[in-house]
Amino acid sequence: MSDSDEFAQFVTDSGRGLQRAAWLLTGDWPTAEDLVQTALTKTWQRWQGGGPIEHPEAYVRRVMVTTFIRWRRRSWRRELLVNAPETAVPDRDLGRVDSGRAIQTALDVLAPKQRAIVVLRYFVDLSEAETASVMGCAVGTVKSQSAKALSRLRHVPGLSDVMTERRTL
Amino acid sequence: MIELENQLAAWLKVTTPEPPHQLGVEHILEDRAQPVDPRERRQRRAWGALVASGVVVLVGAGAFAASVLVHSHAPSSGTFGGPRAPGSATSSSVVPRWALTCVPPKFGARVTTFDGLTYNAALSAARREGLRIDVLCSDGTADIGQPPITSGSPYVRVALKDGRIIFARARQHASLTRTSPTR
Repeated sequence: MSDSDEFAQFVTDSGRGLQRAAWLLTGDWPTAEDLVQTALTKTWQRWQGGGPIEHPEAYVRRVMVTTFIRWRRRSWRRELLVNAPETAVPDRDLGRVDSGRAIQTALDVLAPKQRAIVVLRYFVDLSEAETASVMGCAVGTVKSQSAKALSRLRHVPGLSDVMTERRTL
Repeated sequence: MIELENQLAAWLKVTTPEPPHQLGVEHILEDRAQPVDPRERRQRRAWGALVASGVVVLVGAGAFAASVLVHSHAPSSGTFGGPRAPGSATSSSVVPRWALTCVPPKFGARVTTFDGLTYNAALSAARREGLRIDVLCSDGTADIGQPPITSGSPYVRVALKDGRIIFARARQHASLTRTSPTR
């Protein structure tokens, strides 16, 4: 099997999970796809240079997170919204919105790093040490940022009710 | 704290939606081989997703160079509005290379043309045929590099050669949404 075949198989196997994680990070599908595509492109570059990566999914996650944080640091976006279609005023009470929007409304209260940690810890199910490795920070930072993130989430109106209901899309 | 963590983990797993479509590896490999303007990526992905979903692709060629994507229940062969035979557009230099990677036989979609039709004429012709148009856009050089109107939107801005700009929703089962009379 050639490098590109192996890589294609990897994308097929892991693409769905990566896209879902990227959606949690970015908040919309087009940006999530951009993020995953950017991360996979960089991974492919590395893959071509040195052969298959030992833990490719971890590698892609690391690139995704660092790219996401870098994008969020920018004071401007690459393209500006000119005429937003289907604009909806976010409802702060999560009990009154659908679960997809509820997730994004809740995660929007977090800083980019906290958001990434929440996604890695609670969606991807990484340990604190694994999360620290992906984020490139100390385990203590993951612990403290997780605690801050959870504290912020706890104060989102209606979140606990929505989580208890566990409504699906 | 532990209870909140458990609730959050369960909630995220259950409610995070499935992606609308699989990301095509061909775009990534191509992206690496020849870096693509990020603004163009979405149009490529939209094309790939639409075609992979089994829609019929009508690719225009010639002076006007319009593309129309309709559902797979559309007539499976023949052209309307243009003299070219189905598939003839694939040889045209007007059709971008990445569009060619999406057309048959790879995904089983069909290619036909809308030669010489203006946007409104193409729309009318499609309606006369009872087809639902999902996305109508220029497939030629006019749309290459045109950014989507927003990075957070599924809409793409497509410039037609007659100067108009169409805002189309480049997603499966989406509908043509609006047009702009002037560039």
